[in-house]
Amino acid sequence: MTWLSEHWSLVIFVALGFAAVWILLPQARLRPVGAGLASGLIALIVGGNAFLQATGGEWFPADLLFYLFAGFAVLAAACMITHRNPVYSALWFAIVILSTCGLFLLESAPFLAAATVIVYAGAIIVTFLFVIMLAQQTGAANYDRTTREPFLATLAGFVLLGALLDVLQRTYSAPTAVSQVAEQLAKVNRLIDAKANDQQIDDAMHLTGAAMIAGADRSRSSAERPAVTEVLDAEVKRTPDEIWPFAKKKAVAVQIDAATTKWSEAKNAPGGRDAARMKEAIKSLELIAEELAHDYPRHPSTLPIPDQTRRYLAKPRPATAGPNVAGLGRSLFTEYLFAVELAGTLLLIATIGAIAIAGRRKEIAP
Amino acid sequence: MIPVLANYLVVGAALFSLGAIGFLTRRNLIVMFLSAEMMLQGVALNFVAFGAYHRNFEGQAFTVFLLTVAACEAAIALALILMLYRGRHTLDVSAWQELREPGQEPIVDEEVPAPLPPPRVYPQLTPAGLLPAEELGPSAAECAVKTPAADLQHAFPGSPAPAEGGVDANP
Repeated sequence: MTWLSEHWSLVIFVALGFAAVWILLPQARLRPVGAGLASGLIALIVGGNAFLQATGGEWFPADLLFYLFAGFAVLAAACMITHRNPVYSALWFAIVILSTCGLFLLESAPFLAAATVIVYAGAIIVTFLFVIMLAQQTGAANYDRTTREPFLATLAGFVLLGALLDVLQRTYSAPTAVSQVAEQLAKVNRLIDAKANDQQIDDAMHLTGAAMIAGADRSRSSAERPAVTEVLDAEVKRTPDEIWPFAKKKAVAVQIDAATTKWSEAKNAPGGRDAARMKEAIKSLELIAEELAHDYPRHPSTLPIPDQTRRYLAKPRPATAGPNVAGLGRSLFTEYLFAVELAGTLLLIATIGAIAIAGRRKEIAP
Repeated sequence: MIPVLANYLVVGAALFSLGAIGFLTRRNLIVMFLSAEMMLQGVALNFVAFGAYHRNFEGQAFTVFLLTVAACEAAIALALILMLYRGRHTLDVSAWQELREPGQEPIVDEEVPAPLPPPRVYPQLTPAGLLPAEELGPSAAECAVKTPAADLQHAFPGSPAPAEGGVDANP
């Protein structure tokens, strides 16, 4: 029961989406189309609200474009699988392709957007329409107006979708490392005010969040858990260069260092704990964490990079910056050359196969 | 501004499951194949999203291969669909139920949709106009067109004067 109350938005989204698609699938008996459409729209809004994450403080035009393309893609997909006329299904599929190409453009893949439009919408859909025209039935055929096992298939599909969305939500909404740092610093502030003893404050300066350290629990001593300052330092280093240039990262690292020294000096001051200076140190760390969280809002908390990955990343790799087509071409023809050749061979074999399959049975003598 | 990774994965997941539902449900071979292509499109979106997240071209490179394989698959699948159509003259996948696994019951339509009303027949007008000539068609003399030769003489100076009657005497 608690699972239900925690995941109510997921359950409502799955239920409404299932109802919408099941009602709208072409079936023999009459069905309330209006209720299906309304249910579908509500499911879309509930799902979008629950599972799409905000992109940070400001509202960019790219956000609007994303919601537009994503909404059209999902709506057109639902219309494609529920429309009775196969020609209309092909046209709705063309709209799905165009929306996906828009999403490719937002992901800085202009070549792929163009290639997908040309290959899918230009070649594949037109070929489909030709085949539909060649294989026409007079009037709407029976098989277009009924479906096989609509209830079970829709149920299975939406259970799958629910599972995928739940996993995505768990992975990408985990409290980020920076938010945990901020939380922990606030806790330390409270402990200083409450005049807690040294052990407790030391404890609080090390992170215990389950999302931060897989498999760790509170029983691990503070010596084994990462310190707040270490984690903040690591997160600053992980920030991409486009957001914080190297000079800024260095400056922030120096600030963290200064705060750490101030903290340890104030804690171990000869005349007892210097609470004011400790709080100053905590305040500067909090400001850094807040700025980092604002500039680089979403990134899943990760474990420290394993040594092997660190060595791989440190090796000089071919430059990937530059025009998209040039970079993609360089990647395809250096790292993936063998795969490109295999893909060409596959295309050749497919061409020969298609000609062999669909050719005339009997040879006509010239 | 960095695109948020999770949002694109959500859209990819939605496209994939809707494609799966379409493939399992619909009976038209073409629409089944379109649903399979939509599943591939959802996967392509995932790849491009991860490629952008890691800021390298690996995601996009694999999407190029995905596109290639989808095109090959479309070619072969459409050839097969045409062959299947030649066999049973229907695009219904339920027409090929003898290919099901042994021990499985055939799917029988419990509810047959109501027959559609017959297509409207619109009235046809009787063709109007002159009856064509019976045997050889119109003779050359009947075809002759009075050319306004005198009028055009000034427009095309130097051109030879057209023959009288306007039509070449040779058949």
